[in-house]
Amino acid sequence: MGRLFWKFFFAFFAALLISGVGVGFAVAMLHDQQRGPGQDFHDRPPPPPHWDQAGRPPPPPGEAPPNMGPPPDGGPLPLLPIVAALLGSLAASALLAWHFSKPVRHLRWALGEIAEGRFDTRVQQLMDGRRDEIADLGRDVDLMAQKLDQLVTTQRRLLHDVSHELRSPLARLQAAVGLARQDPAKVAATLDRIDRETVRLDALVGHLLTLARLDAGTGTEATAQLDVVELVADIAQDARFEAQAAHRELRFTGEDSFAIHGREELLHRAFENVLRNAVKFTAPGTTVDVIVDKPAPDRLRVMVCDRGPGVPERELEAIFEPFHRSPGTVQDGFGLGLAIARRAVEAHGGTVRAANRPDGGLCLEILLPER
Amino acid sequence: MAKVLLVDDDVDLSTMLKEFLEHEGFVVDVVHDGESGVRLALAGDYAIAVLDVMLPGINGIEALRRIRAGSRMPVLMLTARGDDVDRVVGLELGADDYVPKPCTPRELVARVRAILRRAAPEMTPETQSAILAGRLRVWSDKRRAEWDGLPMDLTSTEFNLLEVLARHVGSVVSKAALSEQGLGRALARYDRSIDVHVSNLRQKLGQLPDGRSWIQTVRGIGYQLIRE
Repeated sequence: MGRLFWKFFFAFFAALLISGVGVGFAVAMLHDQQRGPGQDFHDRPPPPPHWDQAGRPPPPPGEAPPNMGPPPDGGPLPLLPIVAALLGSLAASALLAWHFSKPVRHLRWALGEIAEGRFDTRVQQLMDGRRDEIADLGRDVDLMAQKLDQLVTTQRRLLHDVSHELRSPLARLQAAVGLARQDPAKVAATLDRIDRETVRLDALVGHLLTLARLDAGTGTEATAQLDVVELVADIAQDARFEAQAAHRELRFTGEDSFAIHGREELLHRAFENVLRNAVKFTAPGTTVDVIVDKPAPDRLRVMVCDRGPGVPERELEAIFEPFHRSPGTVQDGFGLGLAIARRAVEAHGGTVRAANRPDGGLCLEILLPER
Repeated sequence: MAKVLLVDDDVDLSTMLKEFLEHEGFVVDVVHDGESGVRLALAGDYAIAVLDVMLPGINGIEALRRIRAGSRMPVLMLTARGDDVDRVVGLELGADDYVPKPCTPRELVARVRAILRRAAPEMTPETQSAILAGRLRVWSDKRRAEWDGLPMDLTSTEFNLLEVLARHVGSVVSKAALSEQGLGRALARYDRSIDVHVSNLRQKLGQLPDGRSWIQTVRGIGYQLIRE
């Protein structure tokens, strides 16, 4: 029994006792007033004859009944009802106190388990089908545990992926150094390789920092008023050069303007990642379409559609996870671009969705609200 | 000229490793996915396969399983440093050894050489006769072992370890000695390879009538093949 139980118990018990005593006192007072002075129990008509405990018929009137006990006038208080009331209130208090303190103990246990890192703890099934605020609290605790579980799992996977991603360039650096040691004639080529790997490592660390900041919600405060349509048009311009160099085309449509209060470098990075991704995956000789329109006066929609291999339906959400790569494809890049894009757009109150085009290719839809 | 099959999805890395190995006198073929790796390993006449665990499509562990289903060729696994699960699973499935990535190419070559040296039949005529150790007969020159007159199906590393144990039957062989003579390298700290290989051997040897294993663990020292 915890302290809470005893507190509830004594509080209820005291309340019952006080009210019982009060009511009894009031009843006695009333009774006295009705009877008036001089009257007492002896003046009342005798009780009707009744069968005694052994089942014998009542004795004829006039005879004194055996074992009747003292007449009730002698006792100052009716003892039996008082004891019954006492016991009843004790039981009721204990029951009520138990009713309140038990779920609290369960909650405490669950929170302790969660604090120990056992996020699969669930408390709701211990609530015995209650429906009240305490049961709601239990459900919230379960929800919290579930969220924590997800969060920790994601973080753990991210850490695993990050360490793997950092090791790949390290392995190449080691191999390059080994080659240079083996054959001094290869030193110049090896140094170029080492340069490339270093740049790549630096880029990876930069992406990871951006991702970490976006996840933490720092550095996402709006700093400037900017025209998103203009921003996308600029990026499309740059991406077109890259696309044409790789025998692909990029077409931008959309004139209007859409001003929001936001963080320019984040939005720039988001749209750049999405556009570059589309240029990378679209098949040679095909066109990436970038279409900007306003489905509502206070909403901007940017559609970026390629003619690439598309994405299996069940992976349409997973492509926004960090380090996601479609199986079977050997690609450069880290698999962080879309993860960063989604987080950056969400930091501006928008959404990013992916869908396959019915006639082949992938479409990314970015919606931004006016802010 | 030993032929090496390198299976790694990192194109840049495998190109460099190929270059390095070729300079060391190996003939190297490179593939970047598990399926082709298995196909080549089972079809080609490679002396050894170097298999990365992280592969697109079927991963290195699954590739190893498929190679082992059809061949006892030496296999060296490339595992991520610190990933003990992959390492142990790989060894249990019959990989001969592993190298944690990132590693220097020299380390990789040293491991490949160690495995190949052990796997190649010895040319010296001094070991013509079989080693007899209870029910076990080991022909070092032919790299063949028989248990109760039945030939045993062993990977080359398992054979090496069994041979060392058989030579010292009835006495304890330290893990360090097993590692040096069986794997061809010094025992590393926290290295459980020997334990996993020995556990594989135990399964292939079966048990004594009283349920004990033919290979006894001598805690803190090493292993001992008991005579009977």
